[in-house]
Amino acid sequence: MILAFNSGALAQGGQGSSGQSEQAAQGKDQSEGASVSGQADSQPGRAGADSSPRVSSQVRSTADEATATGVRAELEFNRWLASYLAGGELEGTRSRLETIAVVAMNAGVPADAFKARIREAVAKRATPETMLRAIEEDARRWIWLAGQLDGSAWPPGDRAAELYLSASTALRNGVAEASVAGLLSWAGDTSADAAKAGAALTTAASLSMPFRDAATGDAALTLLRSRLRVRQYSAVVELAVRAQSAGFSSRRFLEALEATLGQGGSLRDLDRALFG
Amino acid sequence: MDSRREEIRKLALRMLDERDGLGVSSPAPLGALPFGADEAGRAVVARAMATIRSGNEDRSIPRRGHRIAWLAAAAAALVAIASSDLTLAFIQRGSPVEVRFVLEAPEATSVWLAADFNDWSPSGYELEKAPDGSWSITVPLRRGASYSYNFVIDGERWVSDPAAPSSLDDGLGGVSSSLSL
Repeated sequence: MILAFNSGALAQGGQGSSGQSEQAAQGKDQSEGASVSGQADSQPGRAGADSSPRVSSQVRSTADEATATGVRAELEFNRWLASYLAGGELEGTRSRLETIAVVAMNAGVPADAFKARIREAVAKRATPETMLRAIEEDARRWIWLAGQLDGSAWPPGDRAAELYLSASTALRNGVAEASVAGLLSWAGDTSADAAKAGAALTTAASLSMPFRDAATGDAALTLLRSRLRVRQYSAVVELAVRAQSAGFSSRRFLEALEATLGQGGSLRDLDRALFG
Repeated sequence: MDSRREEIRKLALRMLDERDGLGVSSPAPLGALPFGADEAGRAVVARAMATIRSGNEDRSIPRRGHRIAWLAAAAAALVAIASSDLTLAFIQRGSPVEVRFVLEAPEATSVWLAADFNDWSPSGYELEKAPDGSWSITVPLRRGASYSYNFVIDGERWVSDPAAPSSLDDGLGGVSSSLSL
């Protein structure tokens, strides 16, 4: 039963994915009962590592639960998608969206991130081509993000989608992957507020706009580590706009940011460093 | 007018609760979204801004304010000792703050607010027009997060907020404004 959940069927997605998932889910429900019976784990390597049948069954039970949760999330998402797109102009994108989402969700991307972006695309009446391109690009970034967060208990589940959305917005608007990775690493190590981390990411993206370039350095991490509150982030962007108007380069601004906020300074310190 | 404001507030708070819960909220029916992305609406917009109506946004906090903040922190610590669960819940959810969104668009016949905090569905978020041609709506939002939003003019033109400090590429052919609270 366990092998059925570890097959590549779920990652293939597409038209047949729903049916396969239904079967997997049903099988999962049966295996949940079986997994506590103490049978030896069939996965190579793992059985040898387990010192007793009890430990083996616990490991398998945990793996089964995780897989079952994933399958249920996939089914729920597919049902939501079918219902949400029914009769609309974007209904033709459903199959492709399912495929993209299933692959991403199996990589650990929260379904709610997809839902939010699909709602936005539908509301803004994006064309099918634009929507698919946007979701594909987001999914690529989210899968990369899931890889960065693999094994981490951060962010908390109820804040994960929000962070994924902020990260994809930041990456789309010029924040480098290395900068995002640095922020995630620090945030995970310190169990930082996920909403604040997301706000730091989008603010960092906003900092590149006044200077018309994509050099944001480690601005996101600097903001997150600073003693600023989220509601003060907009003021940092306003200072960037002023700095650009005064002839500063983005590099000079980022240096001032790091030298002030990055060292525990205040907005006023940043203002002084820039404008005296 | 007051009952309408209360209606909007209740709707917004319900959306916030849903967002704070499982992160899943009910999908808006497609038929209720007669809008199309169109940046041509910029021509109509003269000025817009989102302002925080309540809550202290003063960036230069006086010394006395610091003392009060420390006293408040000490009080919060005592409450935490007495009831850590209650305090934790308070901190996690954050306190709502009334945010006033304003758009100056005298030629518009209707203006709606669509944002990530209402699942991009402007239903229930129609701005009211003032005699001077500006449109506004006040929405309760939680502190400690950033939000993306657009104004929708005459049911079809999606525009960013020209007065917002930043607007970001939405990946869908337009731009959205960003607000940190």
